[in-house]
Amino acid sequence: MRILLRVLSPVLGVALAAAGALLAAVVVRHWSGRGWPVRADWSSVDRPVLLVGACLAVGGLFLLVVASRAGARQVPLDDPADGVRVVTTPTSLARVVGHRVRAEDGVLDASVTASRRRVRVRATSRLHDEATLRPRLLEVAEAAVADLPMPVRPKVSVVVISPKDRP
Amino acid sequence: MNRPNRTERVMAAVLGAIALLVGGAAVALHRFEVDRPVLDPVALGWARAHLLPVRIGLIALGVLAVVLGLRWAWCAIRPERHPDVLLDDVVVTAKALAAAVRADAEQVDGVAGAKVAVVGRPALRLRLTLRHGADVTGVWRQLDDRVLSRARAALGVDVLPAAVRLDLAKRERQRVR
Repeated sequence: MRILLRVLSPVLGVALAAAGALLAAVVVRHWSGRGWPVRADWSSVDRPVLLVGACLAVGGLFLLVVASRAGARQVPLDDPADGVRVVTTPTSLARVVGHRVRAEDGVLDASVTASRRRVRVRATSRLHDEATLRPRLLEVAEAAVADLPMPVRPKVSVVVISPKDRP
Repeated sequence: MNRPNRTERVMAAVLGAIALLVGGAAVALHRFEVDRPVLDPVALGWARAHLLPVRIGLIALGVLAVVLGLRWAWCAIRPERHPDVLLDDVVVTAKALAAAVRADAEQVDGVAGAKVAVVGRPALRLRLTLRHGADVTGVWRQLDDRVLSRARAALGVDVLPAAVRLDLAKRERQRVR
């Protein structure tokens, strides 16, 4: 999305500038005594209104999506000094937690998703059931998050998938 | 860390919101079969009655669109500046400063690679890639103790603005052969 925005920006910027110049030119022309160059006496029920309106709405929605997704997704860490801003990525946060959880006894594998507010751990185990393993993993994951210098501590949730829990 | 793109995002969001509102209104009017001219006669009549302010307002709107549009385009295409830093009478090139900070950063335990760019006079942007399983807090602490404080001392400034991004490398999957 960053690249798309980077490519779209010059095109849209020039288009916006051209539209502005056209508007100003048409108004100046009208001021000097000549009529409007186009006659638009459409009624709202006419088909072109629907087409142009739909195109505008879809294009606008697309731009909004691009703009909202083009930001770097960051998890802020504490500032170590004046003027220094340190961030990490949600993926890196997930990797930190995942590394610690996987090192625990009885954990076969773990997948972790993270955002700046929430860390979700999904661990699989063959040896332990959820009731015995979950509290321990929750503690480990919370400790991993607590060790990080973060101004806002994300909430941690753990799910354990184990064949022992199957009825 | 990538170069900032706030201007582009704000402009795209504002233009998108306006287009969505106008387009949505047109579609809604069509859908509910409101048989009225698109250029509303009441609004047109009002505009005719206040011709001078409407003309000036429309021209101002056009000029504003030109300025904002060109600014938006320029923000997206201009190359990022990496200014050299003046130290007493000596010019330290951006490249040399970036290389020095990078060498310091790569000395930190757990850092696998570093990218450094000078983006102001002086201001830095760092992107550190940490090894899998590296101690993030340790890196965070040493970043200021060993890397940035040295840069501050070398440049003789108390505050050195820096934007730092820490990336943790992927774990290496164990393969069973």
